[in-house]
This record gives sequence, structure tokens and C-alpha cells, in this order.
Amino acid sequence: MSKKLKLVALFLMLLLLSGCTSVTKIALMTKLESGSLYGISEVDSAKYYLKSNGIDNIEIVPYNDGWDPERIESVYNEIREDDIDIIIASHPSSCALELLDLINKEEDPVIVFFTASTTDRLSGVDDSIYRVIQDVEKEQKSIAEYIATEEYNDLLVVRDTENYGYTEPAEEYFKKYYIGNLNVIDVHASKFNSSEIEAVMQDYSFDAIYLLIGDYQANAGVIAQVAVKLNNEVDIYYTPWMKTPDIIDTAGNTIYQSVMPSHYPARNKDEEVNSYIEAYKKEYDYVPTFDSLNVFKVMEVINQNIMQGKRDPISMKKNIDSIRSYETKLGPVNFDEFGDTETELFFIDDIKREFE
Amino acid sequence: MKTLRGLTLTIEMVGIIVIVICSSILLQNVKAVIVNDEIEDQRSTLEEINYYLNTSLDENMREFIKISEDLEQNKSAIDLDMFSDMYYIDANMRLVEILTKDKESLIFTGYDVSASKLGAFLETLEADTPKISPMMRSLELDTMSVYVGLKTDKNYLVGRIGLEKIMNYLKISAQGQGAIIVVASNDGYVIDSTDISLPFYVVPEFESDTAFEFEDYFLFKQNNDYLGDDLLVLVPKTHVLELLERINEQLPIFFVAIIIFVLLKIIAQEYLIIKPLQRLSSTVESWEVEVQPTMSYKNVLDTKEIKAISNQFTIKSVEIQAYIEELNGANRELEILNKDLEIVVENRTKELTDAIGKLIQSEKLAALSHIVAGVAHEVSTPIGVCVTTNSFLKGELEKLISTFESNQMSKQSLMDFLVKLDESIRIIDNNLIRTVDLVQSFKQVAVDQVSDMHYKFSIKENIEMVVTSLKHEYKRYNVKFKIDCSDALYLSACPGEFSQIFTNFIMNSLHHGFNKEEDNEIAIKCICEDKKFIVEYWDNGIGISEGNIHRIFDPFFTTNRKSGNSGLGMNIVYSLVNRMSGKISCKSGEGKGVYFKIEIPISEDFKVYSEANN
Repeated sequence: MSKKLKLVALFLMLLLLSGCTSVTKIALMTKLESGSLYGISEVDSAKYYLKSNGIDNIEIVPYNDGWDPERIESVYNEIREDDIDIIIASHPSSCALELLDLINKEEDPVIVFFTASTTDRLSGVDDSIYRVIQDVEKEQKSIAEYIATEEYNDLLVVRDTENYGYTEPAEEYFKKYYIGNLNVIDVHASKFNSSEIEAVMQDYSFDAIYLLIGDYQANAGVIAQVAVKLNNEVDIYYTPWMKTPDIIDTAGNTIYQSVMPSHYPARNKDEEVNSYIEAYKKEYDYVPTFDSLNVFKVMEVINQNIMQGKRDPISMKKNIDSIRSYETKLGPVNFDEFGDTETELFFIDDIKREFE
Repeated sequence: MKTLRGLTLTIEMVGIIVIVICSSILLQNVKAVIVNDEIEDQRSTLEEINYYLNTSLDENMREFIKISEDLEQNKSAIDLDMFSDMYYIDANMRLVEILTKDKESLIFTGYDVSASKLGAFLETLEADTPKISPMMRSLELDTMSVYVGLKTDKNYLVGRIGLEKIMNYLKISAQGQGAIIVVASNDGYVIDSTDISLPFYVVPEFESDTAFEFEDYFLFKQNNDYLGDDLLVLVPKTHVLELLERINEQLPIFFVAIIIFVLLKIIAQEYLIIKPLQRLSSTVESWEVEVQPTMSYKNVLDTKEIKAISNQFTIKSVEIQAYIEELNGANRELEILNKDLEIVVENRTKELTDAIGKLIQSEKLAALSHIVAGVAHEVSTPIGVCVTTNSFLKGELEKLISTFESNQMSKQSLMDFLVKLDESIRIIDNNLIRTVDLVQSFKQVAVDQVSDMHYKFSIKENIEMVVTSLKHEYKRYNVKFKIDCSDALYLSACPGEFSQIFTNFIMNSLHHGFNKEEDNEIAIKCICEDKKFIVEYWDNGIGISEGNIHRIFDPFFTTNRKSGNSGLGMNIVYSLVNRMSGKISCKSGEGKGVYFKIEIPISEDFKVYSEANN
């Protein structure tokens, strides 16, 4: 081999090595304030994925958007100033819609993975947004059909007005697919007066209540308690976005007459999910929110792309669009042509056990 | 040649560099000390804040106890402001009575807390012993709180101290200290802070007794026993940065001062040392030793030290002049003495040369005496045989005459006599011939020894004649000779010189090398090789010690002067070899015998013949 060729080979090798050792930064937009378990759980989940797989070429950088639509722009600008173009966002739909506008205005390529935004405005568009959860229509259809099988006389739907991006289309689709008598009352889930809500609910007759609340608003447990105070035999239904250990604190014993839809099977019915939760508990000494499982899943999808050398938004999007199906430890992720997924919903009646 | 100016400049430049480096190191250390002091101060601040929070929570506890006592006594005016929520919970963990309630609190009578963390905390209470819970998620609204609980006979009294109240306590501390205080979970997640602008979302991992440095802040961490969470203090670096900035601003002044100092020093040493020294040097250079030095340079040497050098030079120059004169006189005397000494040395050298010549001559004669003694010994045997045979013949002749006179002589007796006569004549003849040969041979050796005749001779015969002539010397030594020399090898040289060389080798082996009880060997080898005639002599005697081997060719060197050795034998060998333009070397060691090698180049004066080219 001539000297020149050796130098070229050495240069290429160094280039390859420098490429191999570079760290890809991923922004995680979540709620990191007031001791919120959600953000903690998601950050820890991402870290747990990296640690359990011995990955050191990915760095998770958490950003606190407070799940507040008004803070999305400043946090997104901060991410872009930090030169990060791969984003995982765990915020609710109202925030996702804000972020969607910013991404659409963006000149430089960015790729975003949503783990909790179900809004239908993200559906059916070929953009740089990918979701590992199904959209709100599919979700509400499943829930409506499940509740309808119980053939209640009167179903009271308590709708949160705070996360409008989710609850408005959710109410619409629920009504579309629910067969039976229902009434809807509105509540501001993060700030309400229990006496006032009790007074409102007293005006309705109901044998089941559907708490159409997102954002892991643990206050939903208080409404459940008010409902039970009014009707001791009432059946309570939550959305999948209530699956947090905090609900146990607020719901009291009403949890035993509640059903929780979930994106994952019950722990006692799925060994993979159960072993993940157990391992996580061992590592961090608490039970994670179930949205953190979605973060874990996204991390696995992103890492598979990085391992194939797809480190930038353009090549990653191109790769995902061509592969579409990913096998992950917590189940398959099958993206459609628009980056959406269709997942099965599971209905869990022993909620307390989920968080033990 | 190095100059004083160059040297001092170099030293000063090195000095400046050293000062700059040391100053930089010192500056870094000073900065480190300032930063460390600040860190220590702020660590104390954190301890004070932690202490203040604990004191405030203790105050809450005392107030809680007072409220509980007032409630038992059914006092009408009870101040519940210290707690965000206060209520009774029954043994079934249901809220039974609300004493006070935050306006946003969600709780209501009948609220079930059994499955909550608060419920778990209440179950740990002992009767009539109030206790503060760790920080936990509130049941009342979406925030974190600390609860004070008291177990009474009938129920539990619970007081909630919301995160906002805790943060209020901390804000008071923060305002006093100009710092940001953060409450964070043990995993590093921020629960709340006294200022929303933080340089992190998740607190970086670091030990509680160390400080963490951000660009604009120092960060300190300490666990609070009541909250069970970490208290963090973010201290702006402004104060430290101002100090460091001030140092950085003043540093150039320091360096300028050093440079001015060095320049002044260079100028001073130029005018006070170097120039006066140059003038002194010029004066010394122009000073003629014979002339008294002029002191005209004195007026420019205006420093005490330079004046001292000048004065000393004047004193020493006078002393040098006197010393030089004294030295000149001594030199003249020395020259006269030298001339006398040369004559004495010349005479002594001549006497010594004569003495050496005589000694060499006496050595030759001593060698000749060995040969004469050998001649006497060797000739005595055949002469003795001749005498005996002649005596025998004489007896037989007398017997024959007697027989003839008595007419008793028979033919037989005459025949017998004639036979004996014939035999005796043959014996005498043989012995006389042998005697003649011996005498001829010895004569040749003896003549050769004392003459410098130059002719063609057989080297082997020369060696054998020497060996034979020394037989009487070595017969008591049990010596075996091994002579490796071609019969056809002839030299055109002075045979006496070789005879003397071999005689001295053999006599040295006998007198210094051999022990009479041992089996002694002498080997002599002669060859012609590379236009050189080479003689190798070897014996298996006791050898020569390492200390002596370098001295064996020195004149008068002997290890056995008591036995009458002059110490000239090997010196004569050396001189003879040198005279033939050859060289001699010796190898030996104690107990290893001795080996001599003589190499003589073939020349017009020294020719070698072999049978082939003879």
C-alpha cells in the first residue's frame, strides 16, 4: 500500500472513529416542577433505557415546559439554541398544537416524537412528527365501545376544560361512538372547588362516571370521591392519561370501583411490562407513570436509527418512513405513512395493583 | 566570551519570566483561595438556611401543639393561619371535620385518605406525640406539602404546611443572602425554587459537601431532615468575579512596576558597574608593567566597591612590579645553574653508558663461561674414554712385551692383542672424532658469542648447539626440549646474536621458571611467514606475575638479585631484537608458563633461506 493510500485510510479511520464517538443530544420536553412525578418518571425512563443498554453516545437533555402551552415557544427556542434537533415531547395535545405551529415555521429540519399527544390535528399529515400512541378518535372509540357494553342507564361525562386540545375532540369522538344515555359537565381539573362540583353533579342521575381528563391530573381522584359520595355504587372510568401512582393518593377507596384504560396490558398479565416496572422500581425506588413507558419505547426507536448511522432529522425520517415497523422491548411500534400508530387499549380494573 | 552585560541581561530576563510564572501561579492560588473562601462562606449560608427552615418548621410544630391544646379546651379564638389546611381524620381514615381550608383545596368532609401517603404517615404516629411528615404530594391540591400530625384518642389532627409556605420561609433567607434557594428531590428533580430562572432543570449529580460551579453560580446541596429532600443554594458568582476582576485589573500595574524596576536596574548597573569596569579594563590593558600605573581613571569610579577594586589594583600593581624584579634576578641565577647541571648530566650519562656497556660485555662473558663449562663437561667424557682405552692398551702391550721377552708369545696371543689393539684404536678414534666435533661446535658458538660476524647459518643447528652447550645447566632440571624448526631454514645474519637470545631464554627458564621436581618443557618454534622470521619460545614454568611482566625488558630488572643475577639478560635480548629491526612480545601469568614471540622483518641485512629457494 502506498504512503498516500495509508494516509487516506488513516484519515478515514479517524473520521469514522470521531463519528462513532460523537454524542447525539436528544431533548426531552416534559413537566419538571412542583415535584411532578410525570417529568421525573419520563427523564428517569430515558436514562434507564440508556443505562440498561450501556449506551453512551446519546445524551438526554430535559427541558421543562410545565405542560403549559404558553411556555412551549420559549422552551422550543431554548432547545434550538442548544443546537438540538431530535425532540421527545411528552406533553398533552394542547402543548403539541403549539409545538406543531413552531415546527411548521422552522426552516431547519427537526424531528419530534410525541408520547402523549393524541390530538387528531396531528393525524394524516406527512410531517416530521411521529407518535407512539394512537390518535384521540381511535382511543375514544375503544373506550366508548368498552363502556357501552355495561349498558348503563345514565353515564355522566366530566370533561376537563383545561386540556382542550385533547378533551374537545375526545368528547366529540366519545359521543360519536358511545351508544347510550350520557350527560356532560365541565370542570377545570387543576383548580376546582369540590363543593361546587358536588353541587353540579347532584343535578344529574348517573350510575357511571367517565372522567374525561388528561394530563395526569390526579385531582380526578377527588372527583371520583365526590361521585362516590353521591352514589356509592357508581362505576368510575378514567382516560389512559390518568395512569399515575398519584391517582391512588387522591382517589381513596373509589379506586376499587374504577376502570383504567391503558396502552399496556395489566402488569399481572404481561411479563415484559411487569419486569420493566420491577426493574425500574429497583433502580429508582418508585413506580413510574405509564407515559414513561412510551418514552422508553421512543428511545429504543431512536437508538435503532442512530445505530444505523441516522443521526440527523432528515436521514432519520427517511429511514423511519422506509422501515415503519420497529420491535421494542415493550412491544412493536408500527408507524403508518403519516407517522401515526394504532395501538390496542387494555382496560384495567385492579388499578391499585398496577402501582404496588 | 560571555560579557557581564549579556550575563546580567540574561539573568534579568530569566528573572522576569520566573516572576511572571510565579505571579501567575500565585494569582491562580489567590483566586482559588478567594473561590474557596466564597465556597466556605456559602456553605455556611446553606447551613444557616437549613437551620432557619428547621427552626420555622419547629415553630409550626409548637404552634400545632398549642392549637391542639386550644381545641381541646374549646377556646373560641384560635389562630390557624400558620397552616394551609387543618382538619380531623377519623380512625377509618376519612376526613371528619375541616378546621381551616385553602381556598383552592379540593378536600371535603368524607374524603378518603386511606390509600394515600398521608394515610400511611398517620398510621406511623404514636398517641399524643406530634410529628412532621416528609414532603409529599398533597391530597388537597396539585402541590407538595409537609404535614403535622397528632394522634388523639378519637382521631387524627392534621395540619398541612404547603410548599408555598415552605418557599416563603426560604425566600426570607434567600433575600438576606442574595441567593436562589431550591428544593429538590433526592434524585435531583426541582420541586420549587425562590427564583424561576435556574441554570438547570435537573440538578447535576454532586456530593453534598462539595460545590458545583456553573458559569454564573456556585451550587451547594444539603439534605433537610424534615423535608427528606435536598435544599440547594445557588449563589451568584458576582461578588467573587468582582474580586477576581479587580485582581486582573491590577495585575498589569504589577507587571509594569516589575518592568520599570528591571529597566532602572539595567541602567544603574550599566553606569555604576559595567562602564567603570570597562574603563578599569582599558587602564589595565594600557598599563606597562615597568611603569608606575597612573590613577587618572580614579575620578570616574565613584562607587565604594569600584574604588576598592581600583585601590587594590594600585597596591597589587606595585607589588607585582617588585615581584617581577625579584623573579628576573632568580631567573638569571637559574640559567647559570642550568648550564652547570647540563655538564654534570652529560658526564653522568657518559659514565652510565660506559657502565652499561661493561655490564653487557660481562654478561656476554658470563654466557661464554656457561659455554666453556659446557665444553669442559662434554669433552671430558670422550677424552676419559680415550685415556682409559689407552691405559688398557698400555697394559696389554706390557703383557705382550713380557710374553715376547719370555719367549712365550704364541701366535694366538699376538692375534688376541692385535684384535684388542684394533678395537681400542677404533674406540679412541671415535672418541677423538667426537671430541673434535664438540670442540669445533663449541668453538663456533663461543666465537659467535663474542664476535659480530655475519654469515649464512642453519637456525636449527644454532638452536641445537645452544641446547647442547647448556646441557650441564639443565641436566638437573628434568627438561624436555621440543624444537620445531625446518632443517632447510637458513638465516643470513649474525648467529651469535641468536645464540645469545636462546641462551638467555633457556637460562631464564631454568633459573626463574622451573622447579627441579616437576616435568619441565621448553618449546622453540621458528618459521618464516609474511616476509617475517618468527621465533616462538615457550616454557611451562611458574610464569611471570602481572605486576612484573611489563618490566622484564627493563635494564637491571631481576626478581633474584641475591643469586647474582644482574637483570640485564632480557634487556640484552630486547636490544638484540631491536638491532635487527624486530620486535619482541611476552605473554605470561602466574602458573601459566611464559611465551615470547620475536618477529624480525626480512631485509638486506637479514635474509631467510629455505631449501626450496636456497
